[in-house]
Amino acid sequence: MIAATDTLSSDLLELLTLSQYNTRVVLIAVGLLGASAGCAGTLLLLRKRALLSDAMSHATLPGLCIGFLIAGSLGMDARSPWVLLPSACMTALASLGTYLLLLKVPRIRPDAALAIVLSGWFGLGVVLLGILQQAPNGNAGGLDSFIYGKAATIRASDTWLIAACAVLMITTCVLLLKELRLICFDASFARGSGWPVWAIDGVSLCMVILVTVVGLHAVGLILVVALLIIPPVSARFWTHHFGRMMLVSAIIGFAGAVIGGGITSLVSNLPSGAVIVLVCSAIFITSLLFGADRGLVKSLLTRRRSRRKTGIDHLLRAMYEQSEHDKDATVSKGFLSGIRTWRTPTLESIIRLARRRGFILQTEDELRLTRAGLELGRQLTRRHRLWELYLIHHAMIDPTHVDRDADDVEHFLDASMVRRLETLLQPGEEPRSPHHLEIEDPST
Amino acid sequence: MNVPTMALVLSDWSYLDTWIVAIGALCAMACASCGCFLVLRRMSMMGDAISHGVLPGIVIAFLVSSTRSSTIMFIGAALAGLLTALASQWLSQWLRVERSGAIGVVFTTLFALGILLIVVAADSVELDPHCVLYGEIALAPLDVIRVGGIDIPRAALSLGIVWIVNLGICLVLLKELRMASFDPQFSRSIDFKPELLNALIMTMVAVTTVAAFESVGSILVLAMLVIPPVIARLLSDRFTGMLWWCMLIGVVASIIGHVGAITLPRIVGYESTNTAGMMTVSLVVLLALVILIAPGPGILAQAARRRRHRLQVAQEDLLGLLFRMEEANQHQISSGTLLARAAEAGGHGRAMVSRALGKLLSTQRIQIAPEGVQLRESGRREASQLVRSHRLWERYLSDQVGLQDDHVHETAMMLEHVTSPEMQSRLAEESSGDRTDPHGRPIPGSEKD
Repeated sequence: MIAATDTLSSDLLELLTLSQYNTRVVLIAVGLLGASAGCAGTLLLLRKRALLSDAMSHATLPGLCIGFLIAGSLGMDARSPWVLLPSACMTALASLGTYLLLLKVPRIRPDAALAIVLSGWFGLGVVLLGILQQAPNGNAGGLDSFIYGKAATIRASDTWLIAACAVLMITTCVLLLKELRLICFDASFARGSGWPVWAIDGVSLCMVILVTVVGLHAVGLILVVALLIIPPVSARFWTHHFGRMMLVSAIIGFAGAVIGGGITSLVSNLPSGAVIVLVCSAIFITSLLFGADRGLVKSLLTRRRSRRKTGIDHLLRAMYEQSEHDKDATVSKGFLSGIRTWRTPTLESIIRLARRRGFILQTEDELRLTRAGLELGRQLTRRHRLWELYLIHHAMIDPTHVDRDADDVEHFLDASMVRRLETLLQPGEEPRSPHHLEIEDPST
Repeated sequence: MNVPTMALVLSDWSYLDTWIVAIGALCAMACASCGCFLVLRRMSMMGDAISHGVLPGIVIAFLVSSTRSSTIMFIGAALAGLLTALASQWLSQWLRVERSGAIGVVFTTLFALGILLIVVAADSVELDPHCVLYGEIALAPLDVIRVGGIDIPRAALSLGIVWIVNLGICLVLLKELRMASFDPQFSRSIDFKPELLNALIMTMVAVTTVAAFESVGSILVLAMLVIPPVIARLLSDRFTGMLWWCMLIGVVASIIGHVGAITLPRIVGYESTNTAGMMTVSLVVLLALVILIAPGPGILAQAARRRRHRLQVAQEDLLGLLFRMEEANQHQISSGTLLARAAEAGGHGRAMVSRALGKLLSTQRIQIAPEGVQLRESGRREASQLVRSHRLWERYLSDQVGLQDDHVHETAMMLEHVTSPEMQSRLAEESSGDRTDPHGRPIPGSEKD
């Protein structure tokens, strides 16, 4: 047991210091792959085509089988990437073509077209794989690493290939950043202003196919789509800026691939594709929870803050309106829970918050506004009434119906808005509550 | 091609082959009967996601129960499938993840988990990753259970039950499912929960995927779910019609698939190949065939319709031309000149106008006299109505639409071919008794005059 722990820790040390040549090669390769998949995936996601890449990656299976057969019959090394990858590219492109053709058939919707392309090409691949398994020129076992991914089989020459692709793609992304952003966010505008949208689209799809094909080795054709989808979806929780999203997505892809690749090199016999994807999924869940832009925790906090602010605002306004009648009035909790639909615990927590912020003083059951509370209450009441006035005068809403709307809006009215609303008043006039307007005596 | 060898292979057909075909057909029919809804509701890729997503459910159930025939497996997988559907829906609804991205994240994660479990627990799970890709339909007939004295493959039994249940649900809830599929807004408005039916469909898909798992694996099942309904949709406009077509297609694809799998590889000198893969390929071939020859939306039918329409237009253009020449007292025109002028005026090909001329001659609407081509009585009647429509349209376009007088001819050329008698009489009312077109030529009287 101790010996096992020792080997594990020494393995870990080896991994972390990258002292092993093989590990170094594998980790560099998967890292670069992850980064470039992150870039290409961002385009895919923003163009809402995430599942198209799923179909294309499945369509590489017949290509691999054909390449395997060709290489075998030419007497080459059947696992040479120089034969397998181009033929995988060809069938991926062919699947894209089939998809575009199917879209032209009446009554076939895009989703069904995608499913047909995915399963049809994959079925052809399965048929070829069944034949390959009886091929005389060796077993088709070599293809397994392309189906489920086997990062350990990556050799130095593969790393060079992946590195070349990664450099090519990242350069393309940087050079075409403006154009890519344009078609991602407003393709019809781009078309209207004369951009060759189909060409830019073509470039981004070619990048996707390239990543898919070079990623087969490390992640496998079934799961390579995850490397294209999960990093950008996670990145979206951190930022809404296109360039930054691409960068974050590349970093997430890099990290997920390297950590996953590291784990598979530590523990033997794990399918590297599945491990890399699960590491990426863990990053996704972290981003979903803690992301700085749309993360769950952040949006819950924001919602709580606004709920608290609304509660305090309503409390202060209610107390201020009471003090209008009687300058030194104190207000009881019972009175407060009567005028709004506050439940007792909610009211208690609002009162506690308001007291902590120095807006009210509490003596036993009686509440009183402090100077700061009075001032804030006055402003809130003023905004509330200004908005009521606006609704009555400009939106033609009956005075009995404006109170609720103003309740929602009073919290967000800023100074400039208040200034514009004040034009409804005579100079020096203060807004009055429409609910206390004298009712005209019908006899006059 | 070595036909005798292929025939020899088929003469070796045993009851095992029959069972393989039966299992394949049951599988395709079970999948297609719930796949119809996926296709109609444009959720085909949700089928892909669910079929991938049930994998960890299947594996965990395997680990827990260590048999294949347990109901635990169905329950576990159905839960996993439902989880896939719901989780991707939540991601897109609550966290505003783009829809296809949400589906992609969820199902790849679950699938990766399933693969990892299969590999890690390889000793206790008798499943290999290849089974996930394309199933083991060739081995399915060997695993039998006795029902009422007959050995029935377990796969056939479970797929048969799932098929009957699916079909039963389809027929019992026909009205509700049809309504929720074709008009979810309406069904929501009459306080009828499409979400509940949605969950039902997702569960059906998940359970069916599990039943089909051993025969066709996690990925090819998508073909069985989606392609038969798509083919059926091309052949039928009615939901029940679609359902029956699906069943037929499932059986046909299974037969072609298995026969193809054991014979076709002989051509290139191999033994046989995977039946499930070949079933998928034969479904695709059937689809291509139907796209080509389907009566309504098929490519050939469309081309024939277009061609018929063009021929009709060319005939009418010829008649109109002859009528106008009679009007101008040019009675002597050779067929060659007529064809050239008609081709130029209407933008038709020479072959098309010649065919149109032949058709007019054979239907006795024109005749070729020694002095030239002439209209016969029936042809003249038709031509006068065409020219009437044409000139009424010119009048209308000029007076009511406000087009320039020299711009109305081309539009009227197109509209004259699609103007019904009712439309013509409305146009005549609009022209308020004006008996000439904007160019000053008289508008011929209507048929009744």
